[in-house]
Amino acid sequence: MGQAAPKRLILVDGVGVRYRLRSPGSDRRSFWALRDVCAEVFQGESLGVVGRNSAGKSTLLRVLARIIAPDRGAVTQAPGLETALLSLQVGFIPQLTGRENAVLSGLLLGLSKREVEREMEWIVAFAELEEFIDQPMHSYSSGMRARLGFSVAFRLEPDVLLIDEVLSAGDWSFRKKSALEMRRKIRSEKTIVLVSHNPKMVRELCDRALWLDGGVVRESGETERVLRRYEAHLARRQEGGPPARSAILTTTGGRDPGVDKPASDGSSAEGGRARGNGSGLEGESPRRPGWLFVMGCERSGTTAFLRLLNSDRRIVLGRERFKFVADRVSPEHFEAERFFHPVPEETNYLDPGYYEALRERWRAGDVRYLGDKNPRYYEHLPRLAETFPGCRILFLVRDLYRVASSYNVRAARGEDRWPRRKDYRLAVRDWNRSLSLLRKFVLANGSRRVFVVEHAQFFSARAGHLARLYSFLGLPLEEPPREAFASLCREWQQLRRKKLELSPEMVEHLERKRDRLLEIWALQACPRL
Amino acid sequence: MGAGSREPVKVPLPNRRYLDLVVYRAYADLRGEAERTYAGYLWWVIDPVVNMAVYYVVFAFFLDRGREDFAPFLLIGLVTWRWFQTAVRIASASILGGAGLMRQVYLPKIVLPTSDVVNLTLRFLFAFALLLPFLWIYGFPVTLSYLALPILMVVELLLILAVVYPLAALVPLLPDLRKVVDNGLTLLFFLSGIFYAGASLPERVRPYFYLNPVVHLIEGYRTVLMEGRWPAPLPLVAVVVGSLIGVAVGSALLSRWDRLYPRLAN
Repeated sequence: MGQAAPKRLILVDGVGVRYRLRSPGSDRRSFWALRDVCAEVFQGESLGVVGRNSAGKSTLLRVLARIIAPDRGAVTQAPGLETALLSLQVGFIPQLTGRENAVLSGLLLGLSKREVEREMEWIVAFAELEEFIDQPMHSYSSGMRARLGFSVAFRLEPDVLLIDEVLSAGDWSFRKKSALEMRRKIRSEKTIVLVSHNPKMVRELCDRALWLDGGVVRESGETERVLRRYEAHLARRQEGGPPARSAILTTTGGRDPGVDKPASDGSSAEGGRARGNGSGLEGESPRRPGWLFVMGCERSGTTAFLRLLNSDRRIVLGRERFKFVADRVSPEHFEAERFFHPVPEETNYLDPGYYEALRERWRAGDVRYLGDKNPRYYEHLPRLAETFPGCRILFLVRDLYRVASSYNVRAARGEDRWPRRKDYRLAVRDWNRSLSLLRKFVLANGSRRVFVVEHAQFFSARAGHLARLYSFLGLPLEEPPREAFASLCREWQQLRRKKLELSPEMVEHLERKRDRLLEIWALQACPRL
Repeated sequence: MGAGSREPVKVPLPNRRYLDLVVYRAYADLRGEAERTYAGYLWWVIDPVVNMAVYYVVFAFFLDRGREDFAPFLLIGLVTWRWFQTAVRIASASILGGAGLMRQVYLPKIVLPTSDVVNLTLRFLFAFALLLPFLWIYGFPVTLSYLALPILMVVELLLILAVVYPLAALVPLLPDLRKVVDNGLTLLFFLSGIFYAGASLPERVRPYFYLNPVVHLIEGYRTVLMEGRWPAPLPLVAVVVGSLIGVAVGSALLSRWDRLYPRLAN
């Protein structure tokens, strides 16, 4: 491509960018995200930038987009050159309508108001939001928001388009459509700089590649050559460690530029981790654990499930493990804390050695599932699905009367953080919301990865239920879970015999609000129970 | 292509797109804010009315300022002051608040404080439009001197920008400055003759009192609205000149650190 001396659009000459760290107590006052980077961008090419986390890729993009100025060196551009960083959902304000947000976002990205208005029809059609475009955005699902953000950003036609891993967005069908559109754009005559973790993507889409490591260029030139070196380096470095993660969509704004981790620090952490996983349990794919998340309406027994599943040595659910995982999941890619926020007091019902035991079990090497439980994970279903590809979902539903009475019982005992009287309303609302989100997830991902468990049925002490759960997980049923199941059944049977303490007012409310259709659907969605 | 030379720092020209952006952002913020509350746009009325009522109760009843026409006197001062105060307080933090945005897209940083000021100016105009009928009912007629109102407003807008731009430029580098701004505004509130007239001050402090540009604006509005006369031109000219210098310095600072701000926020 471009043998006849293509025109050079951007010259990056010895660029260094330093971030000052303002965290107190840290002796490292600043670090160089880019040290001495030289690069060129030619007209009509697609340049792929690869490198590990905190290698300075995003910082380089920001320098190219002229969002930040380098501390050292210089960036020269062809006169009048327009560069733009492809950012999704920039400046969205939830209270405004989709249309207003599209204009706002378009203006921020660099379109003129007239351009956005002219393109509005296309944007709306591409985002498949015809009916919703004049609704306020807070009524949108995250998928709808992502679709709109993508469609707006797509109208951008700068001379050089800078892309940071964002190749697609939204649900599965839209993702296919947007990825196609993006590929079309990259392969066109446009000049593109693409930052990616994923060597495969760069190989497929880019004419030239640049490998950044610790803020310096390790290798640049013809894609295949650079990538071979890069992959060899990765393999050497991680020795059976997890392969470079495939591109994970990031649609949220406001993540830190290169400040995520200083390069030197990052590498030492990497080394420590490699030692920690010395058993190599993550190495080959058959041994690589799958993901399992337990969620459901509040008070639907997620804690009981945590106990039940943790009685199996092949399953590791719990919080401490995620501290571990959070190390591996790049902070650039998703904010682990959003998922793995500190679990409230109520979960610390077990002795302090519990989490230690979980970690030990994980290290021991025959772990097949890793995961966590939180009744409220349903809020994050789309992101869970994207961040943990192939994850399985255990979704618990429970009779609303029982949920409400559980709230009541706990409030009466004064041991819970829900002493408010109106909480049965909350229960109803959460219940409806969680089920509708789950339905969306099933529509997008199929029902094979979801197991819906109705609480009362499950704990009706029929061993067959447990067997079905284990066949869903693809594990042979062993003795410890059987025992745990039996004891949990006894426990719940006792609870069930307790009288319901619901006021007539509450019963009426529940009765009115109970959405039979959703319940029936939830039970049908997974006929295995 | 120039050989490796550093790019010259230049003040961005008011380009059509950025003007659109300033206005649309102001509009979006106003609408977003209205949608966030139950009463929505009603707050545009309730907010200034309640605010004025509070001060009126405190000063007219409890402190018994016993001056005739105290209500219009106070309200004119308050409406004017509130514009200045909210604009300075909010817009001076706008670059700090826009950190997420400016890491994703390039925009001249001057856009951020300007759009906040536009937003608050619109609110001021609305409150001012509420004030006028009150004055008419109170018995102050419309006079030819009303023609001076737009001039006064432009001067005040200039003054606001002159304060906001340098502050907005410095606050991200020195976040502690916000505390100083807050307290400085409180001090200025008491020094700006909102609930007392400059003429009532002792002779020896009066010259210092009149060094405050806000005083001239407030008194200017009062002269126009209550006395039906034209405001004294000389102090206003001085305010304009000073403000232009402030605006120039502020926008120079903003464009100087234009590409530094996205790196500061952490």
